[in-house]
Amino acid sequence: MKEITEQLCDGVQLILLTEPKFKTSHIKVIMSMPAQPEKYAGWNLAHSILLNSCEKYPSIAKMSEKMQELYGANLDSNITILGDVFQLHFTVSAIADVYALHQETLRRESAELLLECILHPLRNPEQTGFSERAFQMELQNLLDAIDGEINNKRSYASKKLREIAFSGEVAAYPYYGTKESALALTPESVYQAYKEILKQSEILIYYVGAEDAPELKDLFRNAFSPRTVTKRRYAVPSPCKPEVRTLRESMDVNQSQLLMAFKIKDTGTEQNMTPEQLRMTSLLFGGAPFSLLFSNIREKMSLCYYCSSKDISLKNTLVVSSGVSPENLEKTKQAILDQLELLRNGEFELDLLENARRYVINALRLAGDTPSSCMTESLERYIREDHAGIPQRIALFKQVTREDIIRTANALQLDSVYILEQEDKA
Amino acid sequence: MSYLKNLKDSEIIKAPYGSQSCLRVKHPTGLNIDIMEMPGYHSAYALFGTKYGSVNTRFKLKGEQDFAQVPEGIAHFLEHKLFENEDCDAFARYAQTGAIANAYTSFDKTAYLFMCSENFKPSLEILLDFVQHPYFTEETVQKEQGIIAQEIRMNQDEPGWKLFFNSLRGMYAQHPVRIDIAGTEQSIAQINADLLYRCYRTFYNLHNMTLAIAGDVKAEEILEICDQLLIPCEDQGLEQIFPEEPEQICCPEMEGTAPVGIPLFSVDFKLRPRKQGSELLQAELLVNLAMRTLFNSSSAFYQEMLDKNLINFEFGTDMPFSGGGYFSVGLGGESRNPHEVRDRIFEVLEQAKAHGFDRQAFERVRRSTYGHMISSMNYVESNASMLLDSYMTSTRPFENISVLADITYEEAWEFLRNEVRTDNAVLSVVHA
Repeated sequence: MKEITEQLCDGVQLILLTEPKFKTSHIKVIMSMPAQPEKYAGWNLAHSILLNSCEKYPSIAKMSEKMQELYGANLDSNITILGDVFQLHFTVSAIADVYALHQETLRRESAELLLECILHPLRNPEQTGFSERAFQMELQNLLDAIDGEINNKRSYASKKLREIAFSGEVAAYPYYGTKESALALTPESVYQAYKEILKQSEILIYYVGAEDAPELKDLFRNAFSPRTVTKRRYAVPSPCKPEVRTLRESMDVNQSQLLMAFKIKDTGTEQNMTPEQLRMTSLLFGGAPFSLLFSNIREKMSLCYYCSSKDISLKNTLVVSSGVSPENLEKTKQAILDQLELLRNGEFELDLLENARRYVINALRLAGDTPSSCMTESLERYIREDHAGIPQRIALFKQVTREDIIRTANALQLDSVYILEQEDKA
Repeated sequence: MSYLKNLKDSEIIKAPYGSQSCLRVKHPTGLNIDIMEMPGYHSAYALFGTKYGSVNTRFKLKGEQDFAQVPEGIAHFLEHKLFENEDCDAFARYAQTGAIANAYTSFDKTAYLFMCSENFKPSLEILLDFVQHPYFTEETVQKEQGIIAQEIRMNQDEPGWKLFFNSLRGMYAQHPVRIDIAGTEQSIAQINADLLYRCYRTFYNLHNMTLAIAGDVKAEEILEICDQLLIPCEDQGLEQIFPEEPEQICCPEMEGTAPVGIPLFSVDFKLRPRKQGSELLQAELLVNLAMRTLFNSSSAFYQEMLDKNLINFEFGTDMPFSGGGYFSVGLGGESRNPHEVRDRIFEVLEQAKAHGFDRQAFERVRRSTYGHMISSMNYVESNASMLLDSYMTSTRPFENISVLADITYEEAWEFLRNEVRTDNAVLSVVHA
């Protein structure tokens, strides 16, 4: 894969990734801002308004027609909060020009469509705010999404755990804001908030496709003006609470959800845990089918259908999620703690460490086989502020030792517990 | 290696557009093998699948007098248990190669899979070995009953799952498609080691199976491994029957409750089932294109429903749902007034059946479908899955692209007129 980085102007960078094996072209514009939870609802609303209509295609129907004409081009946007950074991602993808049946220039046209959405949104007649109709529609969708967050019990439980584990930090807030903050918005306030992002955010533009895309340089250079970029804080470790905080909720559910957040406590030593050590510890603990949580709690003890762990390295946190029968809640919780104790005491086979290493290296090597993983890998390098590519990262994983795992497991401290249990039907 | 030279045993099938192709081999053991070499990729994805899913509960083999009836959920149960053998489980073996492994059971198939970026050969050896060597004991079966009961309960907490199965129960009076893939806590309690062995011997016969592989692989290497590890078996003359299913739905409205914010709904049309193959593929594409033309986000219906606040962006048209003895198409999402949406869907449909629909919109949907088919060829997983599905549905790899190119607006309209009946649809709603 060929990678070329172009600084288009201050605060605006274009990264071109050319990979002949792909049959599509993907273009992503990322706008990064310091996270401000009180503005999330407005920013979230702005990003959904932007992709559903614009001046040139002023309705969902017109936008959809245009995307169908571009052979089912896909416009997508999402929000990511990394540490103290709030990111809006806007992506367009289309099949490569060579597959167009009538020699259309799909890459250029899809890039132009994305820019139409970002730069020329549909506004009210006074041009002071987003179109009232688009605003109301998206507001209703946002309110529906907030109302509908309990539909998926696993993601709902995960959100509740974040609220207590990261209480007082920006990571505690859902990216879409709250119902109250959404109801206080107007087409004007959302438009002003978006203009602020457009003017001030740091902008990264990615292209991944089979062919070189020389036209994108001028297209995007003309689209964005220079801006002053301040240093972003992506890694923001979350402090451990002095005492474990537990939140229990009940609902009409058949299966209980048990989530536990562990954080790396301050060990008083200068030697910090690396993201690679935390990832490896998570893999031994519960991040893979051979991990202790799966093999012991699910397979040997049959306590639950799933029980796994995931590390959030930017927060120095590890989260365990499980779905259990109500009668097994306490037993499962204790069993999870027991598995961590095994790691702390070094009571694990070296094979387990090597399995975890192979697993993570295998996963790293898979990056590069999809356009989105190519972009993600490049973005991760940008966030880490190093140029270590996949081979260098693999080398770092190869350095993780048994002692590192024991040290990391001992540094992990239970911080927060969330339990969603069956309501008393009596 | 001999298969590559012998056209009787093997065939290279090319995609109608681009340079993609695959090799289809009929292995002497009876196994179908599809391989797509994807130059430039680092990963490989392999699926070893059998035509055996939750609906295959009544069967007999050549020479047997009576049809056997087995408990619901047994195909899924078998999938769980096959990962274990006498010494260790398959996950522990895959851990030695670094491959990411999994399996799934649907209504009409079970597939075991792995994905890797190195150690492909030993990973394939593990796959072929454990799927061909079952090991069940009463003790391990009992242990699994607890785990699967957890899975069943988890599914019951999914409002979307509840919505879907309520709809199937509204459409199908007899067909086992109306039963949860994992069965029920009662049905899985009837499963024992003997029953698992019986089902295994019936459906995990290589004549009923396929191996689908795509990515950074070499066909010759795969075929050599297959020669070494596949265990020859005889075609057992598998016969299956499904209960007589009336053409008509059994209940036009199904209702369920769950803790949801906004009611979920679906409107599903029961269609005349077809035998797997090109005819079904064409029917699926015809109904999919027609329904998307009428109801997708570029349609007047969609805009009207949004304007009236009757749907939100969760609304969409589902892919047709089909298999042995069942075929339906549906659409749905979230609404505070599902009945009104359903009534409007019926009006739009009747109008389209009487007067036709926008031909240009139809062509746009076709073009967009073509784009999605090409885009999916980017991915190692979707190519391997496409190969697996082509065997399972008795079609040829890439056939969907050719069929899409050939169908006409008139055929889609005719399909709509003759097959999609508003008096044969089920409204399923899940609300708080």
